[in-house]
Amino acid sequence: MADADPGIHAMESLFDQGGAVGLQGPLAGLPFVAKSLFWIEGQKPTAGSKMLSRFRAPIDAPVIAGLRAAGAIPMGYARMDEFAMGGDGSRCAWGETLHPAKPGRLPGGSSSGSAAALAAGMSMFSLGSDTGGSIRIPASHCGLHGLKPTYGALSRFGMVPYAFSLDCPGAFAKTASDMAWIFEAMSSGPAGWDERQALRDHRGLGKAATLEGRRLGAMDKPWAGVRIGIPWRWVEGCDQPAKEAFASWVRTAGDMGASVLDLDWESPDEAVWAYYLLASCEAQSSLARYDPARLGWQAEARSASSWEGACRQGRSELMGREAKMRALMGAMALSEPSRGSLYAKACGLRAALCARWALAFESLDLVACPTCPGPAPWAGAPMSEELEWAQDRLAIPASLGGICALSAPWAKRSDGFDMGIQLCAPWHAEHRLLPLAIAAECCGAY
Amino acid sequence: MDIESTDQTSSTASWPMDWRPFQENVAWRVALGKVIEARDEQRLSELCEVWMGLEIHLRLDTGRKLFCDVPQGQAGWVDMGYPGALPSMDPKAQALATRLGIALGAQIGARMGFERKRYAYPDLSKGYQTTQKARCVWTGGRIECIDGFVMPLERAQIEEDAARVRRGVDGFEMDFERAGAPLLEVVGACIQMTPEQAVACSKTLWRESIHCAASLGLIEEGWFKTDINISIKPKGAAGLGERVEVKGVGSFEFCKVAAVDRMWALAGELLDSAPRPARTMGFDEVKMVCIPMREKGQDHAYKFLPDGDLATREACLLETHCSGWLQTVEKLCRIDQALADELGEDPRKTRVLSMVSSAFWEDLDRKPSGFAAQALRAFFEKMDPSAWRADPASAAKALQWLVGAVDAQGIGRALRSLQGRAVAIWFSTRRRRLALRPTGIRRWHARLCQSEWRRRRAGWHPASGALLS
Repeated sequence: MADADPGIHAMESLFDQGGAVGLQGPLAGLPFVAKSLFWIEGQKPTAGSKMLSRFRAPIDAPVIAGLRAAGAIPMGYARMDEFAMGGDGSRCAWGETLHPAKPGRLPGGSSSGSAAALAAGMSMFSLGSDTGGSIRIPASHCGLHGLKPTYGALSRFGMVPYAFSLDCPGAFAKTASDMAWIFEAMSSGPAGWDERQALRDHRGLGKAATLEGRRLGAMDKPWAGVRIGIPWRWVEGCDQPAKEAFASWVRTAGDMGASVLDLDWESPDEAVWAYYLLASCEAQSSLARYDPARLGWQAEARSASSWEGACRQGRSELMGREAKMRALMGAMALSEPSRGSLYAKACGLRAALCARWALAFESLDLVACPTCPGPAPWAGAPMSEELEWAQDRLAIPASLGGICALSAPWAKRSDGFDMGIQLCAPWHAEHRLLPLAIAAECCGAY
Repeated sequence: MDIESTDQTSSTASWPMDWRPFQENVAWRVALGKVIEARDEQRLSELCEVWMGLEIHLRLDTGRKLFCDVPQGQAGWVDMGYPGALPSMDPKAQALATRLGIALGAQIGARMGFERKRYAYPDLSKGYQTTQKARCVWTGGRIECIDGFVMPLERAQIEEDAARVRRGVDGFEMDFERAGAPLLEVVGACIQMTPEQAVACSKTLWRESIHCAASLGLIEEGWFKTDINISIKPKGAAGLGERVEVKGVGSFEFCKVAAVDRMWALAGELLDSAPRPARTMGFDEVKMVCIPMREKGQDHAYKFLPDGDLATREACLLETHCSGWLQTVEKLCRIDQALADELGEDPRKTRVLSMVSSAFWEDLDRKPSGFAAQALRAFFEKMDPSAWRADPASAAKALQWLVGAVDAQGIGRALRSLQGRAVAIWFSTRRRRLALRPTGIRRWHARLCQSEWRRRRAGWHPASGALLS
């Protein structure tokens, strides 16, 4: 691992593995890396920020505990955009992560290190978190499976928070059947741990999904009877290779027996606005707790004359530009003269979007679109504004709706870049989504 | 008059128009000056109206922190503000608050939810205080004092206590011992009353909270604190003057001192040429004076955000909350009176009573038809007011036995031998109105559950459901 990393900078810290390694369970002996915002007992989850570099996690997060119980071994923390804010992997306080296969490019973010480490073969799977596409985007750029589960399907306990109503822990894997087993292990942490935050118990999903997927995959038309909606308006912002590759995927889905339907859904701009407002307000609240003096920076804080002064000084030095900007935006949205009414309006937009998703899923099983509108971004060159908007329009409706979404690799871009197909399924329908992905994989569609 | 609405005038630096005739009236000024000099409350009430609103913080006796399953006195990850620690709300806090609300005749909210109240102060480990705003545990209700004075209540909110900040040699010292302790803030309506009446109301609420076993009421240990909002206006004028808030006053005696002190200070300010802005003060318990803390203008720096880490919770109504058990509160009330007569100001009294009442309630909540219920029923069925009146000595003796039994044998034994003893305690014939009828509640509860179920089936996002309703 240490040999593979230098050209990529995916890892933040590597753990010393002491003691016995569990050889029991479905993931026995598999090493994995975690985005550096998950609590792993005794380690330092920095969330990509200098502010948290002296914070030590007291226990394992339930998702980590679940994976450990299944036999997997955490190897290290992967780099990430600071506090999971960012879409390309360049906003980490410890330096940017580079794409393992495309020199000079970024792997996408914010779970940049997790995706790069897995794509470079440094681990067998990796953990990430998805607030507005943070798993799906890097999975797409690195040619991996990336699952953003339903909001609330996995416990958020022990995850450094960004936006409490949007954060979802999730995972990257090389294959869909790996993903099913990983998802099962993550969701079955210690019982009675935090029953309110994990809404469903997915025990048995890995095996059932694998069997069901293989059964379907052995059939002539594995996706027979599956109704897939395509929101063509969302695809308009993509570049030409992405459009062509997506069209070829739609033909393949049709060949696999799915009935492909047009989903008449106008461009989801309101959802994007609502997302940024909700995320900023909640980020403001999540970041409010970072008092440098209490996070191990006492010596630095002592030079300031007052507590406010110490906070201001410490935060200016220890936090990145993006985090500060979002916190300030959130503070403004919650202050006079709106006093929270903007937040309520954004909640209203979210409710409307949820109703829209519910309506769509009454007559559809999946909604599919490309995960990313273009190739992996260049390091050091910001993405064009149009592409960023197109990216948000593709990734955010699923985040804001809280539904489950899987980015499956589809390496058919004419320019040789990886891309992913985002498959959105209703709330808590991972048990439907994963077998379909496994079936597609079995019959060689990927 | 809503106390919040007085904020509207905070930017104007002159007296309201219709106050000027009073202040330009030389005779009125002279009379007021004399009244202030003589500290004559009777005559002050002829010239001015004093309006007060109480905000009372009482700590709930749940035995743990509100959002963290650690005992009181320790701090959990949520209390310390660890990034990533999620709160899990203690249902007992809701049960205790509901019980007190019903005893006060309040309307229990169908659903309650929490908000994050953000302000910049080092005592907040998370950067915000988790409290309730729009969806409180209960609203309405009233405090009825023994002398018949009634103070209507506005609402009550469950919230967490903040950490304590001490200024050390080089900077701050944070004490998380009480951070995250469950508090119930009872907000009274702003009404016209005297300092004595305010103290009586506060005291009544304190007793009530002990009778319901909602709180241990240990004033010296900071379980019961009163914020007094006080405001004054010339009699007959419209509107209210800017308010002064005295925060965190510990004992009833201090309450009275603080209220009287501020009342006279505000009366004196009526003679000034311009009004002073609303402000917040603390109370120095050694020097017995109010000390200025800050101008109230900073209140607008509060930022509220619905807390999505905590799901909204449906009203918690146990059978013991609404059926015959309200009478238990009344009966415990009478035990309290008798104990007061027997023991006087014995400091053991509060502790004994709170132990007895919490043992009763615990057993009742667990098993509405269990042992404690039967014992209580038998105990109070034999209660005979006329016999009590005729022979106070027997009652006193029985009470002495009760205290002794609790002290010596522990509560379980004492309860067991309660049965069969005829202790007649009857002081007041006040009946408390029942806020809700049991059958109605059950039906209403069923309806709520159904609607929630329907919403879930419609495929609502769990977070949006929580944040919107």
